[in-house]
Amino acid sequence: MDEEQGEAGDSSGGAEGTTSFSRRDALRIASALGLVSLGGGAAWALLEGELAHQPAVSWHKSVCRYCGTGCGVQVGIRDKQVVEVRGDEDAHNRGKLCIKGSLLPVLNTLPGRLTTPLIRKDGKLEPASWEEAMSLVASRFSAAIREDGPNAVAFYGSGQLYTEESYTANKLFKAGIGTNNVDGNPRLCMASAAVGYTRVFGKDEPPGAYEDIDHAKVFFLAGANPAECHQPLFERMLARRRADPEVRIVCVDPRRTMTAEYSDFHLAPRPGADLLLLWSMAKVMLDEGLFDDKFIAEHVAFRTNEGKAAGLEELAAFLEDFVPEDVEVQLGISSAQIREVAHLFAASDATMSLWTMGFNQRVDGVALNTTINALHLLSGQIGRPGATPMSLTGQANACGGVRDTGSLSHILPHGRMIAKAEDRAEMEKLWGVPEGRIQAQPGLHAVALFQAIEEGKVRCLLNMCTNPGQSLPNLARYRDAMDKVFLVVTDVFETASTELADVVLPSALWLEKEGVYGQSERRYQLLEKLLDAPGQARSDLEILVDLAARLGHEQLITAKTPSAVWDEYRLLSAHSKYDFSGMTRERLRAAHGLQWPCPSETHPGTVRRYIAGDPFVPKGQEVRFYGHPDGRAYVHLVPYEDRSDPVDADFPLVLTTGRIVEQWHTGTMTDRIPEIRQGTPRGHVEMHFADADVLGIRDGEQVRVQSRYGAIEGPVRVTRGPRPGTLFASFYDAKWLINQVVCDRVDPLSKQPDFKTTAVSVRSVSA
Amino acid sequence: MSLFAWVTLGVGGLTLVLGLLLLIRGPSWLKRTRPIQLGVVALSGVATYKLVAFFAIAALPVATLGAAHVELLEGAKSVEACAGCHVMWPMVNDLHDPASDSLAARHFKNRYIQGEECYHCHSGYGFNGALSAKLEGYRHLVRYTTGIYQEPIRMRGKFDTASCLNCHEGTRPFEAINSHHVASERLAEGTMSCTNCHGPAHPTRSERTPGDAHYQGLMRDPL
Amino acid sequence: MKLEIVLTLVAVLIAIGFVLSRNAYLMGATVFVATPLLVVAVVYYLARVIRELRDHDVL
Repeated sequence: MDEEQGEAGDSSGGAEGTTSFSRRDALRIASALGLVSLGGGAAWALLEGELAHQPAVSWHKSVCRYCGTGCGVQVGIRDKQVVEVRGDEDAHNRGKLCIKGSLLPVLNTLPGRLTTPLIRKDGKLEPASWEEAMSLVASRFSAAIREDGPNAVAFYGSGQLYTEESYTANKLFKAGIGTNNVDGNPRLCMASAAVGYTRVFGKDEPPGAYEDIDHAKVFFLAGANPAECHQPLFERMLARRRADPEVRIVCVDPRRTMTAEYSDFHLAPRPGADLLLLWSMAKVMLDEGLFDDKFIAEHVAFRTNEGKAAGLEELAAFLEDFVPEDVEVQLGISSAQIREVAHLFAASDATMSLWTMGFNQRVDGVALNTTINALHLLSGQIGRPGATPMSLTGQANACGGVRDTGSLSHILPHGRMIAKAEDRAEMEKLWGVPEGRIQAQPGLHAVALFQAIEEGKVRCLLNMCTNPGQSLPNLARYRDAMDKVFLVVTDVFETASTELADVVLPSALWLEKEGVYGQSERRYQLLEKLLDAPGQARSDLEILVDLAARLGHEQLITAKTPSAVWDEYRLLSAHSKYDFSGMTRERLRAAHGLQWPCPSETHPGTVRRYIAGDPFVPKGQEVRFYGHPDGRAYVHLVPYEDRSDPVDADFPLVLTTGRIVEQWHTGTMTDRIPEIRQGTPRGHVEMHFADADVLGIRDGEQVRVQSRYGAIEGPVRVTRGPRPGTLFASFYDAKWLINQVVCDRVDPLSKQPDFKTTAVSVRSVSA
Repeated sequence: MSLFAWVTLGVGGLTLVLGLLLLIRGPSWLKRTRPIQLGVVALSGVATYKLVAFFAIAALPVATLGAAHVELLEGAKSVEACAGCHVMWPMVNDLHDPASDSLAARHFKNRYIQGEECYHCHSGYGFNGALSAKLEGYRHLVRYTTGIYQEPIRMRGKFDTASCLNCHEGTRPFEAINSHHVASERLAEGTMSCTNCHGPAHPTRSERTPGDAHYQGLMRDPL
Repeated sequence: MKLEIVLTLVAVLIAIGFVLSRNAYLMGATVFVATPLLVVAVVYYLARVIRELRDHDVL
């Protein structure tokens, strides 16, 4: 029976391949194949569906809120909230951010946002309407102007405002109200660099770009801690060194920072003496024949400190004072190291120096800036890939927003000077205001402004997007001054400045408004509005436009939206060597920023200035420093003079302040982010174990740090970071105002305060 | 060739032989044999046939395909396996490129991982990995073989930061960086990627887009 | 049982082909063609077996 069954079941008939194909067979085959396809297809469908699709996140190009690196970011938004921020792989930072940038998703939903205007009534800040607040501001400003003239009011702005906002404020105050009292926190940050570049090249802003990092052979980092403060740039330098093992990183810093740890050479000068290093390096270069004589002959001119023309003889005579063996004791760096570094700098295929606050926030900040530039000019380390003097900017928009728009008390847009009559006249014409509207006298720089407030000369101050109540040097004195003046503060959270304000206006934060940021390498990038501001918060531009109208200047401030302001401003640039009139909003929307000069809509932007390729360098010329009529860059023979806060028996140590990677400036944003707040120590001072031992101070103790300006008590951390004789503190803790201790000496040319060398004493106050 | 490859070949070969025999010679061939004596059991011709059929149709093929599947999963760990699809050539070429600064290239250059480099980070693929990783791998297979993909290819979902942390967390250099502690919860959850600070692991999407300057160079056959 | 045998042989051939060549397409075929082929073949075979066992009053 089985046989039968078998036979019957096997309906294909005989054994020897005779296939009588019946319909049943066809059906079986068809069904089998059908099932196979179904099986395969079902499996695939399951796979496609099984793996949980994230609900759709839309990604948007933007720029980080924080430092002057200006990293491109991709912002992931779902349900009108930022869910993730990633580095933009296609931007200059190649997908890399630092921890602050990575934690940006938290920023816009932090609790405590200011959502309504506040007016101080009977000592307390009370909620008010925009109408009430703005009319109060307008009436107080008008009254002050009417009674004491335009210089009775002032604007204190920020390198974190959008370019459109700073431009509008600058125009309103200088060409509307008619006061040059427009200054801002870049005075505390970049003024020395700006003045330095201008004195050397005739024009502000770096000649090179971040791209030079990919070609340099020697990195000369001075007064900078990019491993913490410009992290993606330092990553790029490390990547360069990984790619080419001959690359060397030199770090000049009185502290053993994270940057120093990664560097090949660490030179720790005595604070305040580093100009000796730079000139001493020049002396070595001269003696060893490492100057680029051809380059000097063709493109460099010399000026004595008094401004007289000079030549190589004067340079040689000048450098006699800087023999390494003669300066090593005062400088604190051995002559051997000086010679080593001088060789590295001058003889390498391409040397790139990068500096920031260690050079800028100094009483001789301008001298340090002009001299570091001079080293590049003398050794010919400039004007080719990898060879360039690159000043790193601290804030996201100090370059584009403040320096370039001319929003400081002594300048006008695009490199013009208030002191020059022809520059004022040109701006008056371009802005369509009557001749003489712009005051001939430069206005008050930051420290002078707060001193004038103290004296009652400035009655009203509009403070936007910055926190001088925590960031000014000699803080206690100027906080008292801020208390006196009619202070209007726009910000996103309560800060050490809002607590002194008479009117607080809630402003829109990152992504809640649209505008342009311009970072260190002359790259302008657009940040689009992706979120709504909470409550009644408004953008600073809206506030300025409103104020302008209320003060009677709506005929002047006609551009009321970010794009309108941008178009006005970029077309204005065509009248200068900044010319970025080719950077239309559409181009900025599409591109990962563009570097100026960019004079036409098809121009790709300029990576390196002053060389062939720069639209202002005449055809056929390889190099021209067109900022000066003679086409040359100037080396200024500025002698070394120790004008820092003097160290003596009463104040034997030196306090330096600075940043750490996790915290941004006064911590008004980052110190509210729980992970950052919990992950960083509260305000404290760092001390070298050698000093601690001598003073009998132990790690963790409470100490009193005292200077000629103020005092503060707090914990001490004993480390090997600061150079013996030096202390370090950061200023992000609103409950530990270290700037009370910091001196307010300024560089005589740039008026930038010296946050880096305050003479202090330290003693234990633990019970 | 590895063990399971041999098993597949061997058992598969046997299947082929038996199956072809059955097919060509037909069932009657076996059914007509005399009973075979296996110890106390006598197998009739029909019984023999059915036993052979069982092996030829069920047991052996299932074993073959089982072995093939294991071989597939284990073999997927090798760099060659990844390089089998041309859309992965950029990753493989970049991995081996001493001039590249991608995370993959840096790990390779430093010889931190010897052999099966892709798998050590994308560790879900092997037999002991996560089911979802394997399913995702199968999905890639269908997309690729049917041509339903667009260049540049993108990973669906996120890379598991645990793959980074498994090696790096707890080491002295890692622990010395304060930002790692600030980010530790987010790194553990996977809401923040290590690549956010340390850069892309592989060539970027732009570089892998046809027409980009890098595309030609990245799309060389690495094998 | 010709159909089952043919299905099986094709499945096994694909699997062997994959193991020898490591080609991506054979890899895909192994998972999405060979396996369903084998599954269907085994199902059909099992159906046959069950039917026969029923006829013999075993099941």
